[in-house]
Amino acid sequence: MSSVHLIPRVIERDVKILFSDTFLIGIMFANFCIDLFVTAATFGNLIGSSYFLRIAPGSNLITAMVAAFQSGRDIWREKYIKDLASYLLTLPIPRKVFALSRITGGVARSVIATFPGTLVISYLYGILFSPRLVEAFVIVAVFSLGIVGLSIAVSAFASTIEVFATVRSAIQLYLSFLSTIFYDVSLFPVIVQPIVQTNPMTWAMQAFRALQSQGSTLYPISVLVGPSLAFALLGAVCYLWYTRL
Amino acid sequence: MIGFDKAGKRFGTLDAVKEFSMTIQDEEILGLLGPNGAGKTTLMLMMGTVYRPTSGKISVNGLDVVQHPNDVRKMIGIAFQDPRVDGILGAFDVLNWHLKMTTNLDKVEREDRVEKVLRAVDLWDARNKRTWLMSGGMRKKVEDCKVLAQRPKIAVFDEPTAFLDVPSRLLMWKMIRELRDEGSTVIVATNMMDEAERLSDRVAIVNLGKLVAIDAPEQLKGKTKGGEVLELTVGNGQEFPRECLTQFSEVQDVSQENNKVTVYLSGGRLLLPKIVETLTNRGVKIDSVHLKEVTLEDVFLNYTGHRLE
Repeated sequence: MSSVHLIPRVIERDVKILFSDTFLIGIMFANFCIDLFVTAATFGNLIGSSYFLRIAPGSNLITAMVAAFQSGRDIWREKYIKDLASYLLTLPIPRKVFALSRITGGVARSVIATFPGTLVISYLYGILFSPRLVEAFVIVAVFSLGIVGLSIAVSAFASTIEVFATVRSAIQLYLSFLSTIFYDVSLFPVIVQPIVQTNPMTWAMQAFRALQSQGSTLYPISVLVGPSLAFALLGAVCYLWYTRL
Repeated sequence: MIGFDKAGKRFGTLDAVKEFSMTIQDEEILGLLGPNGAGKTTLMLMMGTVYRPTSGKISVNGLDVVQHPNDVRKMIGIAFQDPRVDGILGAFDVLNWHLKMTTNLDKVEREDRVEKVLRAVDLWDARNKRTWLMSGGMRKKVEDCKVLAQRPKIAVFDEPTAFLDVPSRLLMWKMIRELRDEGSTVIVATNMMDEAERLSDRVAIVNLGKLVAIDAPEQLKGKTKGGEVLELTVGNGQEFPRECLTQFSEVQDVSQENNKVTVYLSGGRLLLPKIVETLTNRGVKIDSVHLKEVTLEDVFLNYTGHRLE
């Protein structure tokens, strides 16, 4: 595709918009700090420091999730609030390439938004100066890919911001509390366990925990790639549907 | 060359554009003149590949907009009626990114072009101000500047001088003419008569989604019956005896809208006393009389039966 060179330009715009909203960035980092240093530290004092290390990646992935949903929210705003969609659709970039760019841009934003958090966790896990640091970023990127796809799919169909926010909350609730961020899968009721085991957050957490225990991340990342690609594809199809000529 | 061949666009049960056929020549400024809701923006968005025509065909330099949308987009730049700019970004960033997406200019050329156009419209000092903090006029200039800096083969401006003060309006017209002189085909949608008349090489009158007339402004005025217009304001609620004016051979047509009567005629100066006498004898109360040359507004009224207000 001859328009591939335009992908970095679309990503550049998405990232620039993210950084223009310093208030939003501040809120995200504050959210991460509160999650990581207040909640987790309190649990650490109650139960032991290993629990702090255990749930720390969850805080970072929740931040990644929030950042990923902001991509969907921005696309929703482009369509309904700012009416920017009609302008963007007149740009000389094929729709498929544009959809790919928007998803990649969303992933870039999530990785950037969680950059300090990923570094902190990597330091805690003793991999900050090891090549395994790359794996930490890969986990965040693969996880974000699916969530960006989901958020774009929601943005394509939500006719009001209330609908978008409600669906987003439901997805965030599922990803956060029906995953192994806080508890082992064995602690969930048996009926809920299949849901927890198929939750992308669970596998992102497993991958981080493999980093913590110096184990291989290949298997959990391989499992995570499946739903992430499926959700990304869903997002791309929905985006193409709503930007169809 | 841009061709509309019986193009139509239907939204639900509403026909925004119907059976629209028109050819736009290269390197001309075509004014699309019509009231709000006439279908001007829909026409432009169909041409710009945002909307798919529900009937007929639209081709841009021989390329069908449905079959070759991306090739068409490469030729077109659209400045929207309501500025479509990222409010959180400054004017410089908005224009620079637009050029990155639409041109192959290198960094130096691109930034030079952005600087020139921002200086020309007196926005250089405000180049880093977030566009959502700008006034409506400033934002509109940024929107127009996207196309002025892009210099596309086909430049489309939707109400380019809305919200602009008079000096800025004149400047924008000058810059649009320069774009045409450099080889661009320019389409200007407007509901302002003076803009259509002073800026356009040809004017297409659009009403209720249909093309009602297209020609050079002077030709359109020349085609209007008689060449002169007599405007009469008569007493409210009075039935106007149309036939007592059509008896004069110089009177080409008579139309009435509420208490305003428009008479298209020739030799109006000589005929005026006779008309006033005839109407007074028929008991018509005349509040005012105004004889003038045909304007584009009269042409619009003549073709559509209502004023562009």
